[in-house]
Order: sequence, then C-alpha cells, then structure tokens
Amino acid sequence: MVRDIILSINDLHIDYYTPDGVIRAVRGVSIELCKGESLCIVGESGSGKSTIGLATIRALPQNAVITRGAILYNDIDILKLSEEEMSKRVRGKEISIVFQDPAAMFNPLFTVGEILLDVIATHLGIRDRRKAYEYGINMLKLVELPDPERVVNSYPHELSGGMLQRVAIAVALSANPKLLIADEPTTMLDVTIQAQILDLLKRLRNELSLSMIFITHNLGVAAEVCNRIMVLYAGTLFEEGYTEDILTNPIHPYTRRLLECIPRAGRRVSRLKFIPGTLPDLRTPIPGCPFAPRCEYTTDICRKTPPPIYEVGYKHKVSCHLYQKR
Amino acid sequence: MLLNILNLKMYFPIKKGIFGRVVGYVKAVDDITFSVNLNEVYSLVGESGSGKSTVARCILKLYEPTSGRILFEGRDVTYARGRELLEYRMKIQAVFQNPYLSLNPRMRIIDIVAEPILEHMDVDKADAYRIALELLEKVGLSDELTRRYPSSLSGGQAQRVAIARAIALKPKLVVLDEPTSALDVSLQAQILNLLEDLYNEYRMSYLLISHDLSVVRYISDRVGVMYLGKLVEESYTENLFENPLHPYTQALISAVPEPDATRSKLSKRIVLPGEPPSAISPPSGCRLNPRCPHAMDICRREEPPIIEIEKGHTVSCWLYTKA
Amino acid sequence: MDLEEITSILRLIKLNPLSIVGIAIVATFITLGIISPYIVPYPADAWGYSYNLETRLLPPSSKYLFGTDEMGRDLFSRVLLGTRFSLIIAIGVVGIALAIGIVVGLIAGYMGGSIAMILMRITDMFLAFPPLLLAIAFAATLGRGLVNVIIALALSWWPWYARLIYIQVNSVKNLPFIDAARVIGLSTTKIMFRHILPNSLTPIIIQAALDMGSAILEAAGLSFLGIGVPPPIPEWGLLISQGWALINRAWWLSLFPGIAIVITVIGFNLLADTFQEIMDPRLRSTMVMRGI
Repeated sequence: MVRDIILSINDLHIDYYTPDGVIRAVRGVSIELCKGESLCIVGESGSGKSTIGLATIRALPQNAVITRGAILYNDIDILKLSEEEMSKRVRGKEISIVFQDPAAMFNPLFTVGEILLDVIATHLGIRDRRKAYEYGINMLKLVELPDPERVVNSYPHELSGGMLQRVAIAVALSANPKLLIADEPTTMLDVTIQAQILDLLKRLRNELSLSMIFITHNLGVAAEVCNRIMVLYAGTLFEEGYTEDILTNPIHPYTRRLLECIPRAGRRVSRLKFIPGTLPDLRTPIPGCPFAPRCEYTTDICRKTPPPIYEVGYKHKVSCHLYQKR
Repeated sequence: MLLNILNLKMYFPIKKGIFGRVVGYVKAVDDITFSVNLNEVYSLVGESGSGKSTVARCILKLYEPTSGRILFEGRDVTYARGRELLEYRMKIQAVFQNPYLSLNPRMRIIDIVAEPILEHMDVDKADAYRIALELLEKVGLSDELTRRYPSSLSGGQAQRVAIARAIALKPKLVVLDEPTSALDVSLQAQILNLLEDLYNEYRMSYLLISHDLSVVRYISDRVGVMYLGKLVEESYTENLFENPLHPYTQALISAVPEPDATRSKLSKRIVLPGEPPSAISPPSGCRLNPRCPHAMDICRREEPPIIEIEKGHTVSCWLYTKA
Repeated sequence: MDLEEITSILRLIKLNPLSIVGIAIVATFITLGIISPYIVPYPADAWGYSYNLETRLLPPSSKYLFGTDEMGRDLFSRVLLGTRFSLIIAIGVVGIALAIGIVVGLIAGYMGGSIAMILMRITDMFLAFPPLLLAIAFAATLGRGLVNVIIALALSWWPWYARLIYIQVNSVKNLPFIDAARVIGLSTTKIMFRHILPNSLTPIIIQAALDMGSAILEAAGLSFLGIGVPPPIPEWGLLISQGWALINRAWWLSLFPGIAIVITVIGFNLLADTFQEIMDPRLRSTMVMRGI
C-alpha cells in the first residue's frame, strides 16, 4: 500500500543566537510522516526535539535562525510562506500544536469560552454566537471534559492542569487540522492524569484520522502512543524505526543505553546502568558522532567523521559507524 | 527506629479580607503515621496535592505542624528550638527537586559546600575547604568546576553539588524531595547510582519523596502511598509493586507508561476517572470514593481504618475489612 | 563573577554605543568630582572667596570659557568645582537612603508578620507624599547646608528602596536555596545578609544608578528654591538660581550649569539602562540579535 506523505522535513539546520554564542540546536534532521501515522520524536534535553516541532509550525523564538533545509507540508513549502499566509492557511487549519504547559498558552483574562469562540470565528468563520457556542461545547465534549457548560465559563486558573490540557487539545483541534504536534503534552501532569490524556489522544487520532508528531523525553510514553519512533541526540538523528523494533531491538548504542537507564526493578536486583558524561557543547562544531565521548564502542572514525545513515531492517535506520557494511 | 511520625496533621488556613479571617483550611496532611528505620530507604509516593512534600517540609522543620509528633532517635523534636533544633538540623539534611534553585546563584560551588562545615564543625577555614573539596570529588565533580558559579553547571552537576552539601555534616537522615525529576533519564541514572553509593558508604537513611514509581521501586526498601493527605497503603517495595491492594495504588502502578512494546497490549490499564478533589473540602468517608471503581456505600460514609494484611503491609480500604 | 562573565558583559557593552556614552559620562563626572579642586584655573573664584569688579559679567571668552558672574568670578571654575558637590550629594543621598531602605526592607521582608506590618505602614506613610514636597519640608526644617540637603533628600527617598527591597525579598525568600540554608541550620542574620540580600539587589542597583541623577537634580531644585546649599558653594542649582535674576543681561550664568546637570543626569540614565540590559538575560539575547 502506498501512503501519501503529509509532512517531509529535509536536512533541517537550526541555530539559536545567545549571549554565550551560537547554539547549533538542530544539525541536519530529515523526517517523513505519512497520513494517519504517529511519529514520536524522543530525546533528552538539548536534543533539538522541541525546536523541530516549533519550526514545523513556524513558531520559533526570535533568536532562532533556520540556516538550511526545507519543511514541506502536502507540497506547501512552510518556510517560504509569508507570516500572513501561515496564519491564514496553515496554523490551526492544517497543523496545530499542543504544548507542555497549557497555562502559559492561554490569556488569563479570557474564559475558556471566549478563547474557543475566538479560534472558531477566525478559523472557521462561524460568526453566529449561538452556533459557535454549540460548536465549542461539542469540542469540549470531544475531549471528554466533564460539565462543558461550566468549563466554558471558567478562567484558565480555575482549571487543573489535566483539564487545561484537554481545553488546549480542543482549541488545537477546533479547526480540523490534519496534523497535530504534541510537544511533551503530559510532562507536567501526574501519571494517572497522563494516562487519561494519552488515552484521549489515541482515541482522537483514530476518530479524526489525524497525523501526529509526538515529542517526548519519555520512552514509555512514546511506546504507548506512537507507531514510529525517532531518537534524537544533540540535534542529530540516531535511530528511527517502528516502535516494536526500537524497543525490542534497539541498534544504536545510545538508544540501548537510554533504555537501560530506566529503572525497572529494585536496586538489590541489579544495579542501574547509566550513560557517563554529559551532552557535548552545542556551540562548538562536532566533527564526528556527537555521542562519541560517551559511547563504549568509540573508535577513531567516530571522533572524526559523522556517521551516515544505514538501513538495518525494514524502515529501521541507524546513524552509527558500527553498522558500516562489512 | 530513627524517625517516627505520629498522627501528623498540617492544615493551612485560608484567610480572607483585610482582617485575615480564617474561612477554611487546606488539609494538606491529615493524620499520617509512619516511621523510617536506621539504614533504610523509605519512600512516600503520591501525585501533586497528595501532601507528600508537606510531610517532608514538616520533618525538615520548614513548617510547624498543626498537630502530631515528630520523634527523632526517640526524642520529640516537634517543637524543638535553639540548641536542640540545631542538633537536629545537623543530623537531618535535604536535597531538593530543582538543583539550580536550591543553590545560591551568587556563591561559588566550593563556598556552598563549605558553608555547613564552617558553620557547624570545629575546623579552621583551610580544613573546611579541604573537606569540601573531598566531598565534591566524592560526588564526581572535577576540581576545575569547584571555583565556578551554579549557573555554569549542568542540571546533573548542580544536583551533585546539592548532594555534597547534604552529606557534608554526615547526617543520619537525608530527605530527598524529588531529587531526579528535573533531570534527563541518563543523568537520573547517574544520580541514583551516586545516592546508592553514598547510602552504602555513610550508612544513613533516606526519606524519598517522589511521584516517579520506577525510581521509587529501584531505590526504596519500604514505600508509603499517599492520596489527598492520607497514607492509603504501606509495604515493602517488592510486595507493594507485586501485590498492590488499595485501588489507588493499583491505578497508580498500572498508569506508569513503560517502554515495553508488549506490555501495553497485554495488561489492562486501570484509568481512574476525573481528578483528585480539592484538599479544602475532601470527600467524606474514603477520599478516593468519587473516583474508585469499587466504591461501596460505606466508603462514602465512613473513613476506612488502617488494616494490617500481612506483616508490614497495611492498607486503608473497606474492601479488606471483612475476612 | 568569573572571567567568562566579565568578557561576556564587555562584549554586550561594546554592542551598544549608548552604554559606552553613559559609562564615559559617569566616569568623567566621578573623575572630575575627585580631581576638580586641583585643576580649576581660578581656585579662589571656584570656592567663591574672591571679588573682582573689573571682570564683572564678562561673556564667554578664551580666558573665561563660560564667562564670569556678577562678582567677577570665573564661571568655568565654579561649574567645574560644582561636580565635586554634585558627586557628594549623589553618593550621600543614595548611600544613606539605600542603607535605611535595605535594612527596613530586608527585615520586613524576611520576618513578615507584625514586624513587616509596622515597618511597611511607616514606609507607606512616607510614600503617600510626593518626595520633592517631603524633601522641601525636611530641608526647610533642618535649615540650609550641604549635609542638611543630603539628609533631607535621603529621608524622602529611603521608603522607595525599602519597598523595592521588600518586594524582592518576598520573592527570593521562598526559593529552595533559602530552605536549604535553613536546613543547614544557619542563623537568621546569615540567611538574610549572605543568601537573601545579594539575590535581591539587581533592581536596586539599577534604581540607584537612575537616582544618582535625580538626586543631583533635586538638590539643584532645593538650592534654586533657596533652601538648599548656601552660597558661596558652587552647587549647580545654586548657580542657576543666582544667574536667573540676570538672565536678560548674562545668559551664560544659568546656561552652563544647566547643561552640566543635563549631561550628568543623562549619563546616569544611560548607565542604568546598561545595568538593566546586562542583568536581564532576556534583554541580553535581544542585544546579541542586534549585533548579528
């Protein structure tokens, strides 16, 4: 079955200008996402995962510069659109985003209803207040908010983190986007609430046939929601493949180590594996593999040349010199 | 026993108006009893609003509890003052969640670690700094970093500094308040291993406050589960994870997403509906009853007693009262 | 502060020409304030001990750069020596006000409760009056004199610092590192002065730099009203006031001390802006963006 590609990101490079120097946050990442697929970008802090999400919806902070690469959404060149076209045609209608902290996204002076009505009016052109209100209530029902009539009249600070994240999802989905970017949407929530939100996202993805990019640092969360996983480190792709493959048969030394770092049993049973050292300084050029200083299999070539991407299985790619064709 | 917490209550008054009339209380901790043994890792788990951090702050004497008693090495320290308080402080230290915010940004690393030594130990300045350097080396910080300021450290490094400061006075008990939740997994593993090494070397006890069940399972000997100011279940770690009894504990454990491709399809997850109610007006009876899949009539009316099911495994739930 | 940070700050300053102007003005002002008594061309004129009818009210010339006053004294010498008095006033007023404000704000902020209540109500009482009005009242009560002017201005000024420090302390005292200091078992004084104060000073430093300029301006105002520094001290406000009566016959008498005040005040304002940019990380990165 040939499936349509909805989003393709090609060799993306993004720099941040800071007082302490230029941080090269994303160093040549390519992504292909098919319709209806959900892809998880997994990485620790500094991996550049959130930067890629923001770039896709052109919401990077002012000091970020895209130095190279292209982002194509259904043949629309996202990076070439004007700011106005971006707001009118793409944001909300085609691509939407949900962030880690929903409270920071909402103006605290507006009620949930006012926020929803505003989005509905601008994106769907429903000006009739009663129709828009009905539509809004339906959106809140869609995200399983209890008592939507009460929620509509509440201010953001009156809602809990979990409820607010549901509102954020409702707002993001109100103009029927085809692609949802979820940037650590459950990181600030408690586990029992996280479980609710993950279930909700999975249900919505199926019902609305959404494509989804899910950004997280938590491999467990990634395993729950996505069929494909990309592992990022220091702005570069390390491994990519179907969730089962990545979890049961991780190829890249970093992915393996990362999985071993997660405590699963008591300390008396087995001592926790860990990754020595820290992330390389992203301000300096990295000549070889960025993981070389922390990797146990490092050889000379790792320090000198960046590893190419090898295909090691069906749609299972890895960027590591260990898998060079013998 | 090292630390006994008896019927601890911490109610925060809610004040209104210019005269500060008290209109209600946030019952953050409501009648909790547990103990930490010598050379033991005890964990309090719970989600936000469960009151676990408030318990920690009471033990650290950052809050004065509304009622209840705190016994340390058999001595009542609940209302300790002056000399007595200082002696208690030297034996109990803490590591907080946010490593950057728990270090004074205007002090050098070495000064931060040397501060408690200079304050309490009978040593001169040179010796204090020598001890501080040794501690920093022990927690794995290179010599060149010790003259820097906290802002130039990574999160993991900063947490190592906080740990070095906590063990500087060789305390009997270290309260770890979410020590790794601000860190990435790879760094979390480093810090957990460091904490374990120090635990073995110094033969102290830890009281871990955490919402992360995998960390709790890894490091603790015994676990207490908190929900809305109450201790709902307590047991030895493996026992609790293998055989959770309280519906809340069961839901909590099943909600943890694990990077296991097979798991999510096999075991059924228990999702509790709704959100924890407010601690200002907690539900009558068992506090979980509005969300509990097994709620019965009695759960709505009466608070469940604490029942010992097997040795060291207690639960507070009406499901286990008969039989 | 380590070497890395200093170089990073210097880089930022280099990016903003106005910062350099501000720093240059303030540096010149301070230097002149210190050395002016030794470099004035006519020391006796500067201090106001001389009287010379032949050189009365001469317009600016190469001999008398800023002209002469009605007593025949060289105005350039007097304005130059004026920097010293302005410097003393600026440092004196801001210094005393800071000392009182910091102690009051720190104690009220950290102790809280009824102590804070009493201290902050007193502060509020002062804040209820316009500061200049208060200063005039104090100055009028205390009588003329350099020290009295400084005291009068400082008394009307400290409540602003007290309030600023109070707000800062309140936000800092709940940070985990203060908890950590308490857990270590430090005394209250050590927590206040070693941990809270150094982390509450940023906005105060900015405000103080700004206020140095304002202090000079207000002292000049008091002198102008005749309740400030007594003659023959060549304080700038007094010079303007003395020239005011003769503005039709000798424009230079008020103009040059006026320019001196304006430049100095602008200098301190620019310096305060620079401090703000250096201390606020968000502004820092916009400055870097300007530089690319």
